[in-house]
Amino acid sequence: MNMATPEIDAEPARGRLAALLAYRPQRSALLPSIGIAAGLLIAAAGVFHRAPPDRGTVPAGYAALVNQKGILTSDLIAQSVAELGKPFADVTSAERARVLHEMIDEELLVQRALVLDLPETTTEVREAMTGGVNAQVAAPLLAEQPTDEQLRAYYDAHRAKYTADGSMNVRDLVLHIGGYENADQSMAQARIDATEAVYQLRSGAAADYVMEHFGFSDSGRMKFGNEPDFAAKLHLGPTLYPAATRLTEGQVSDPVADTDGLHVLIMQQRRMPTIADFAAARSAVYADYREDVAKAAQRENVKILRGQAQIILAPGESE
Amino acid sequence: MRGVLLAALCLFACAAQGAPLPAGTANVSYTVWTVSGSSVLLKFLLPTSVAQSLTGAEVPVLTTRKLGDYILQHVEVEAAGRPCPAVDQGYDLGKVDPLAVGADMYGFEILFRCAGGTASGLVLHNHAVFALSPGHIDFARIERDGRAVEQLFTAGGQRLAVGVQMSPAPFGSYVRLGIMHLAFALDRLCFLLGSLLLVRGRRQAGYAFVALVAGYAASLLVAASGWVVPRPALLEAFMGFMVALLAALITLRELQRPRVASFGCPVLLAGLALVTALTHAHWAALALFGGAVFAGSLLLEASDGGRPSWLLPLGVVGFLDGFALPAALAPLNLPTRPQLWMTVGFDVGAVLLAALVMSVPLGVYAVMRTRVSRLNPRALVNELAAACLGGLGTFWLVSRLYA
Repeated sequence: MNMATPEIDAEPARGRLAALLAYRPQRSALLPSIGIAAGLLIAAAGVFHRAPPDRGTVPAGYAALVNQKGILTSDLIAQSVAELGKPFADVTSAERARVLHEMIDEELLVQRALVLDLPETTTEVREAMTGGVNAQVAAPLLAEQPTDEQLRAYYDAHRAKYTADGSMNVRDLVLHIGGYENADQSMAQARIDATEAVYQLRSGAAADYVMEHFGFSDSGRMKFGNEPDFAAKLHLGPTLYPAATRLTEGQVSDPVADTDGLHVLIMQQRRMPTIADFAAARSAVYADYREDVAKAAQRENVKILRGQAQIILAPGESE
Repeated sequence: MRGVLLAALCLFACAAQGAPLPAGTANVSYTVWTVSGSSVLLKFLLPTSVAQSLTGAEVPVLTTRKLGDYILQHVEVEAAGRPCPAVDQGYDLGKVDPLAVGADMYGFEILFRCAGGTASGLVLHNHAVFALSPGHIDFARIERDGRAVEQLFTAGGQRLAVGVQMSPAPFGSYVRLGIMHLAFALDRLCFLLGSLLLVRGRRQAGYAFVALVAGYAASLLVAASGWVVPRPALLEAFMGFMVALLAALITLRELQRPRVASFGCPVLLAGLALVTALTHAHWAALALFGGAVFAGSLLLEASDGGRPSWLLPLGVVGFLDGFALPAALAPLNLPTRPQLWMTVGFDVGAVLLAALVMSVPLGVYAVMRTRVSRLNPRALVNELAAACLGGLGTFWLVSRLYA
């Protein structure tokens, strides 16, 4: 470049600055041209981007491209083996073509489902998707087999879950209060009668005699005889069942007030609930342990997702 | 006098600013009509920006369903003179099935059933958006028996007769589209008019036009190769930058201290690039940085005078504008050949209008110069025009960059 020296010797500072700004050296166009080209190229890199590749040939490792989406050869092999039930080496080319045809159909339907936004609109698809995500989240943890120590610790912490249900055959006598046959009887009088009846029953009096003498009747709640505890709980209800569980065989309860009168329970037969030992409950413990591990992983995953999500509730709504 | 005329035109173009979309082709929608047996399946794609512009009109587009209902009310199919009703698609979908087509687009599917078949007298109607936006263009693709043709629905052509031998939209319709595109693209018009202030004589006007055409031709080659596609928002922002750069070029000729413009403009752009980089818009920052280097080098080169570097922005604008149609057609994923055909027509239309825009003011100036030869307030007019262009260009650059 040919650089000329500006004449700035005798001028004041302001004038020198003005002269400097107005200075036009004679120079070649090379550097500005390089600058122009570089600038355009850099700007073009920002304004334009590479077009997504439109593949006309199937890349290695893929069996087919369906709307530019690949079907892996490994998936084709796995599907062939699963569908035909024989090693892939024994699969004929016709069978392989048929499986690939089915996989292409499936891919087309999946793509169509996504276009139709089925995950947002169809309950079954949503359930399948949530199930899939939950299974995927739990899979790494479920792949680890629990040790006996872990299972035993789980068993100890959840011993109540491994209790074998008991059963009972209880006779439920009821003394109705204020009925037409005893319209003037007060609650206090009824309780005195019931207490006396209990005393006589405990003294060995026959139930039928007591019923007749004091005006008791069978409540009908335990009409099926010997029942498992869960059924007895259902039939006796929340007031009488706890009283029944405290009785052993042959015992008579104190009078218990319920909505329909005063009840007296006579435990005729009782098998108490039993707790299975670890060895007997091991398979159930193993299944429960894995289920709890999977649920914990799923809860953790949802917690992370919630942490990353923006959730806005409408006024008045809560979750 | 020429300067007065051009400044007046620039001011007029500036005053007309207010079009909702930066370029005419952004106001588009897409339809794919698949004719099969007795049914016609319509896939309607509406860009979010166009759907939002409907909201401000009489159509209450509050939800996707309502937008779908609006589309249903504005499309029809008839065969052999009888209307083909839209079919209820089951479940709780109704007659319009919303599609998942990305965040920047609404998609709907409607199935029409023609009781008498579609073999004869098939006519497609599309009246959506045109009443609200007369400049709206619908790029239609009609598929039948494995063949496909591209057609256009416009405000003046909302009905398409489809014969057994389907024919694509004529070349002239794309020429017209290119003309309309440039006619409503105020940034391009401002640039073309402003560039005339740099022209010295008839020969240079010819060079300027050739540079513009070369830009369009180059974009055609690049677009046809399919190697690169533009980022539409950045492309439009860069167009704003080019207008501002033109203002700097005009100013440069009038300045006694050209270094102020030569360094000031790129420094400002580099600052903007830095700010943009901080907002994590890396591609925008890269484009601005490149723009700064380009502007600095170009202004430095142009400050010497006598060199044809001022023609380069015209080529760049032609190149960028040449991508307007390919960018608009991207959602249709058209094969290269029909897209090239459409783009050639579009570019021819744009170039024709550009020739008109550039030649008419020069012609009027030539006529008037012979009558009022003494009136030539050049410096004042150039300053006024440069100020308008600089302001508008910067506005377009910044508003589109951070839209």
